[in-house]
Amino acid sequence: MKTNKLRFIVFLLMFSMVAVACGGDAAEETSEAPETTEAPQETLAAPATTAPPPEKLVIWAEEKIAIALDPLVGAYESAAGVDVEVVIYDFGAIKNDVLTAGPAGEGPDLFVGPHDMVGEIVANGVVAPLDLGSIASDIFDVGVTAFSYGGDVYGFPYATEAIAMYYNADLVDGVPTTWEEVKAACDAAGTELCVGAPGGGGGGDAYHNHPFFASDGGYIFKFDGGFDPSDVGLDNAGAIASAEYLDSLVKNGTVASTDYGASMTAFQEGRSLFWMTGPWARNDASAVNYGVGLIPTFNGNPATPFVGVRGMFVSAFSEKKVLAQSFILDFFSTVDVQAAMYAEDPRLPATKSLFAVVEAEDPIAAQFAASASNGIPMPNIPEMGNVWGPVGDAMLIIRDQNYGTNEDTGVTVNSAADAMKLAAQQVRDAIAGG
Amino acid sequence: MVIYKFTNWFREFGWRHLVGLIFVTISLYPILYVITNSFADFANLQNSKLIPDTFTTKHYESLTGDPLIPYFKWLFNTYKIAGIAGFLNVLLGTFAAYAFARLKFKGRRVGLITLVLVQMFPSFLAFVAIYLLFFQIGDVAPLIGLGTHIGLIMVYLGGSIGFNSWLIKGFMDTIPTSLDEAAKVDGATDFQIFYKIVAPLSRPIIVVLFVITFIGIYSDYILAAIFLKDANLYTVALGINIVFMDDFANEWGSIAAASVIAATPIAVLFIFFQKQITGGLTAGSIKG
Amino acid sequence: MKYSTFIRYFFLAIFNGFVIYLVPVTIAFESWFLLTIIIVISLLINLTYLTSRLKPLKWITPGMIFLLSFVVFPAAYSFYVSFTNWSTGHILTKQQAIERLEDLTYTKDDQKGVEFDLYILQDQDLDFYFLADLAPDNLLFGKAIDEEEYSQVNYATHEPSFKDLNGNISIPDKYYLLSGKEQIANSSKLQELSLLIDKNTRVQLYNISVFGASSGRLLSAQQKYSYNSETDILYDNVNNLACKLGNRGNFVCDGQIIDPGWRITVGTENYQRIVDDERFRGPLRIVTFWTFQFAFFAVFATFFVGLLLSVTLNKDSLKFQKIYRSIYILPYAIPGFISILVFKGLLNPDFGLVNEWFAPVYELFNIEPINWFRTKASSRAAVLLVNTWLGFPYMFLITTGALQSIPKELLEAAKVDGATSRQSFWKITFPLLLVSISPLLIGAFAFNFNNFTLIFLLTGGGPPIVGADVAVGYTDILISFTYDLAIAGGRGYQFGLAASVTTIIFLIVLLISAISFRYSKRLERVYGNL
Repeated sequence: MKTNKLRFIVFLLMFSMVAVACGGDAAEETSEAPETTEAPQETLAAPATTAPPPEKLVIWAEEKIAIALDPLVGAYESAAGVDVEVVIYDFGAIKNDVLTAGPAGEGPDLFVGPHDMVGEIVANGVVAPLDLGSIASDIFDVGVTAFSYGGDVYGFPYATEAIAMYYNADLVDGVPTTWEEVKAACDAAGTELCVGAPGGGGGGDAYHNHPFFASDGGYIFKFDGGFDPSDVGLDNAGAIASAEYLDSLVKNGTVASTDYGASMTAFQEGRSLFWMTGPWARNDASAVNYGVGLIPTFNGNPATPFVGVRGMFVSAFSEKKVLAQSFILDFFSTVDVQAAMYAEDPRLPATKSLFAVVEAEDPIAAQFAASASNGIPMPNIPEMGNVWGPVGDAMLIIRDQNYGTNEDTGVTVNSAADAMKLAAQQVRDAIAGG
Repeated sequence: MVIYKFTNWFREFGWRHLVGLIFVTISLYPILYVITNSFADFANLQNSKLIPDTFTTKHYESLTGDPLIPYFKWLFNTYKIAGIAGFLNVLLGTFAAYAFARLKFKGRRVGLITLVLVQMFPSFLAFVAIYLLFFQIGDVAPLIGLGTHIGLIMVYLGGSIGFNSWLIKGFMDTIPTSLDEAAKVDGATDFQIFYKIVAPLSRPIIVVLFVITFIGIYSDYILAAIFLKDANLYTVALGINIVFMDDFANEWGSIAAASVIAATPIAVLFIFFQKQITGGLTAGSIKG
Repeated sequence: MKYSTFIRYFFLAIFNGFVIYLVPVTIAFESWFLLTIIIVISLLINLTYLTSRLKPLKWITPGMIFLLSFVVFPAAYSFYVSFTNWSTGHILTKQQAIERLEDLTYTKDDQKGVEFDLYILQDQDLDFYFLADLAPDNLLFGKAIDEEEYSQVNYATHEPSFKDLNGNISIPDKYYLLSGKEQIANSSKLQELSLLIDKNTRVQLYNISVFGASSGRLLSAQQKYSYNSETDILYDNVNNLACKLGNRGNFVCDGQIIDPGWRITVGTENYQRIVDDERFRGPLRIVTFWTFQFAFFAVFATFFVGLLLSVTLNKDSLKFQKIYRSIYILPYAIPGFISILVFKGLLNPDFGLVNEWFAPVYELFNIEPINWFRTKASSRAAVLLVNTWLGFPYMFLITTGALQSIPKELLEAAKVDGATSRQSFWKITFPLLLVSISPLLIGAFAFNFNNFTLIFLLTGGGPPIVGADVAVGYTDILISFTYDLAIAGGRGYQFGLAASVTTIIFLIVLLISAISFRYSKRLERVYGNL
């Protein structure tokens, strides 16, 4: 046994030495690599071109952007001498990964995301400001506002979206301007349901319900250059009046109690006359002959949907910030690229120049744009995380007419006003409570 | 007489068929729904019709030919990852189970229970730790870092070894020790006993656990999403989530078609290897 | 030396070779997590395979390595996080946060929005020069320098000679004008350089254009913040403030908290909040109670159906047995997130097929159709029903396997003794079954205790518990409640708090499992472990 052990130890040592030797080589090689880039040149002719290996930009984006960029990016790569690598991501997963990967030194140079995460990623220090410069004048104000936080702009907005009202064009000519007329149109058409709007039927959804409390003076956070988390307007007179109006619309059968899936089914099967949702649903809506119009007014005021904006950001952990900025300002923001992205993913363009083209070609896109122009951007402050739950729940109570005294908490909600007050209280408590 | 015969038949077999058929309906209905929707022009998993108005194969066509949706690569990756990880998982579990079942040592029960208990940690937040760990592994050994199938398989190996060991151990306990004692007398080593007697006799439970582990990995999306960033390396579940699902706008037709194609070989295997999967504890072990 | 021993040492040597190679590399990359894990694993492996005393470990270690690395380590890490204030604004280390702050530049208000063409030149010594076309009468030229040289070099000067009579840029021969492509090739260097205009202002390259002229921006010569590591004070150069350390891992300037902050350990604060905070305590009672109910009934229902089916089919010479069995595993082949959504549609109270089928039943008994997902009872029932569909194939597989491992001669002996089949099932089959699969039932309990996907996709936790202090629903289980808490509080994402709730959940599950194991041990004693 002893000799065995001895033999083994010798064997082990031999192996270890070989391994260490190899390892040493590898380490030296990698540490030497960067030095070669600084080889001095004596001649004046194009001194820089021969020196470094091509720079590489890593972009995290969702599949549709990757598809749109794919045929165009080659031209930029060869003109600029950079490698652009687009990593395809689930759009919703980008934020989490940026927060984790960036600080660990594994993040991208550029990434895309929705504007409502701006506050959070700025507070976490993972995004760098972006001075849009002269191209800002070509971007709709709502886009720039959406990406502004604490006095700086943090991304280039490339697409906006807001909900509007689909109608079944075989049964009705368009969307009337008031809810009373909507009701009358439904009665005339005789459909099973009138307006299918997500956010009922057990599925809380503050996003789709926003026009129902914010069109007549209600708001989540007061907007004054930036969103103020200490001023919650969910229970002001305007919010309560709108919510009470919604209550009457539910009671008289105008607004059905549907979640997203049910509202889609109802519209596709011709069982509802209207469907309140966004431009992403155009393909699904085309199961019937559809048109799109503005959401009816509240007390004479246009409906204010939430506007969501998507944009591209420069990572604070990028070691090539100027290059990353240049990619956005010099290439990504150009009309050609934006048009290719619109072709792949028909969300509304955020740039005026492309929108002018789209508007002329696509009247439905123009309707969504008109709806968005009445809307407000979703608050981009991190406190918004406290809002979705309470507001979605309050609207769900109204939409499903779930009034009464709760057996477990003993709290009574007998009206739309009670529901809004409760939501406002929950939001204020959550923000105060940390 | 006929009635008597029928009641007798019913008491022996008939009720079994009745229960069986009810659950056949329950099992198949939602699946049929997915299948018919994969052929529907406007697929919607929440529509109210089982049979769509118009039939189309466009969703299946969308899965072929588009270089940006390399669906069949996803399919291959899924089976590869689930197959390898499932196999190794069960293999390592069988090793551990053998020690717990056959080798007498102190803390045997405590050790096994610890393995099972540790496995119960809610992995809900674990992604950050796994992320950080694999960033570092990727620096040191890029071959098994993030973005690689090997790294993902390694993480899956940690996934259910505790439970698997316990189950296999329970099964091994039912194999009479007289068999290995006889072999020991003949001079067999532990390893020989393991791979000539105990492991083969444990095959039924090993097959069942392989299936369970395979399916668990096959439908996993969360861990795969941490690891795989290249569309050519996706698994089916991940590809569906990334490419066909987007907030509200989900391409239900393609999702349904992708699931049907992915599930079909598994269903066929279930049917052909049904005996191995659910049946087949050879009476051998008991008869000795 | 025996052949097998040789093989063993051979592999061990390879393994140790790798470890010895990896350790210095790991240190070079400062990968401390990985280093810890490598050391633990290599010690474990060497201990196991070098001595002959730890024989059982030789069998267990291979699997344990993965369990340690990818289950125990993440769990330990989450435990550590539960003692930190890791949350929005506190995700970086202090050093990283300071680097971010020092990285920030600022532009004086009157210089904001000034954008101008910028030309990059290079001389014989490969030094870079910037030519900034600020205005027709203000064509600034000078050497581009990095921060360390600010004090040594003269400021930029107006050089009208760099423009010809037509107003086009004309570069003297001694300089080389870089194209956009060349600027990009040098961008890593160029982004560190500035052209100083005066004491307070500099020009930086902002946008390298390969299609047109690159442009620059005016910045203040000083960064927005500068940090003094000796005094641990951050200076706000815009407002001339000294910012001291706050107590939550931030700098505080004039009462204002500066983002980003960094994460610090906060002791048991997160745990205290769960205990003390009214907002959590109220709904926690309802949620905890339902979590237990859900996990229990989920296991019970899937086990019941699975066992029912396996017992039903566990009959020799039953026709179509094979087909039945194959079909019962089929629900397993469809990924869960898809079947959950299908069920959401099937159960829809207005269009769903379930209510359509049951319409005659509702009529017959003159009851209201079930308002799925809109009431407490119907939502909870829906969650359990769907979970049963998703989970019974697993239980069916397990119980079928376990039934067949029960020695037939035991049952035959019972039959000889005159036991009916029902008696022998309850007295022999069932207890033996419980002995062999009780750990699985415990495992299934733990799984359902944390079955986030089902709740999240099917009901989203709803319907809401009206009047609770936080938004929470009747089908929320602890883990989905935690998820909501983690993203909803103060400034959003609260990882430290979520980690502490997870730790508590783990402890609860551990406790229950440990008790169950004690019970199953008693079962084993009674019925023997064969």
